[in-house]
Amino acid sequence: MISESPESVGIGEVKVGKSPLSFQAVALGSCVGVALYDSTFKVGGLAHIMLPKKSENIGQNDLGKFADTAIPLLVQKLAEIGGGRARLIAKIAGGAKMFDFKRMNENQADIGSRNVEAAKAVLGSLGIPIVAEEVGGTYGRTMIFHLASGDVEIISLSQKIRKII
Amino acid sequence: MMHDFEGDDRLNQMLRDALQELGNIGVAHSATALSQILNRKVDMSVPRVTLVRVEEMYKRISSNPGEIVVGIASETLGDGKMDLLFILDEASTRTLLSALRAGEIPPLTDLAELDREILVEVGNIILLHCVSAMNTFTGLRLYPMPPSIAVDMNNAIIQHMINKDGEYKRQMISVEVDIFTETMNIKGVVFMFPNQKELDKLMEQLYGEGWDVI
Repeated sequence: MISESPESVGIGEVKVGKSPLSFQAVALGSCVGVALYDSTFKVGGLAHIMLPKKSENIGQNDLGKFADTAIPLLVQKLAEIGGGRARLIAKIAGGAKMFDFKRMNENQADIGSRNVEAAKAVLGSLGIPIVAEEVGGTYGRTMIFHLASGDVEIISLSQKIRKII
Repeated sequence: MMHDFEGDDRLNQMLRDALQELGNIGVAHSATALSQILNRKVDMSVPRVTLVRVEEMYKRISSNPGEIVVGIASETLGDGKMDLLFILDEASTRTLLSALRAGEIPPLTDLAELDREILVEVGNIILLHCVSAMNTFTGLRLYPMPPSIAVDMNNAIIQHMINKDGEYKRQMISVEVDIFTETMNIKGVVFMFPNQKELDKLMEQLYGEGWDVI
């Protein structure tokens, strides 16, 4: 069953809920969307992450912007509504390289891949398995997370992709 | 020294005037260059120049973050690193391409390489003139790198430019402009991502060295 229109998760936001809700992160570029799901109780949440690491002087309201603070926050919010950490699985999308700059500093990876790497490292350290991913490339993606099924729909305008992971 | 442009109304007004001047010059020079490639008289509106907080920018595009747009982006070398982005919406892109070449214009997702090159060239002209206006004003020497193009969702493009260096950028200069000829009207937006050094230099140039202690 598809619920009515998905609730939007904007940049730097972390939202959790229960079936039959669905969440969407529209037009992820280099940002990464991390969807966590507990299939036993059909609860889950989505984080729309901008950057790999929290910098200094970041307030409480900005924790959702960084992989190293947003994912733990998402896990904590899920625990509050019955999402058991041991049951959580992750699906991630985004982390594209939208522009191909001729960089001076070739050693520095683009921000999209750094975001993906950071998200994977944080999930790894929390022991949450990544069961599906649709990351990298050079195109934007919209990610829709259905809590009734745990399915994540990926839509790309420029690549004309519509698929479920 | 960091200046608190936001927390200080007088500085804020001074900065806005400085940015407006910068936008006016960049746009005037772009118009001349564009009339040459379009081979007809081109007029440009007085640009709407604003210093926008990143949060405010996301709010602006939140009504349609998935809208397909063309983005042409560059970054500078030299005395400072400034990122630049020129955005054209779908209708303006189609109008512009029709003015520059014969034949049907396909959907934006199916643009041929030649069309993309045309758009990069137009974007390049506009970005070059914005950088050169910044150089004239500040005395800095910034050199733009060859631009790169993305045809994709609005939010994905802007967000990539905001985050690209892995820093948490807080503000950007937005220059909105209408480009007219007798038969067409194109809307474009240039975003410049200056650092504090460029903003301070801009102020110094317009108001003299003691601008921050007036």
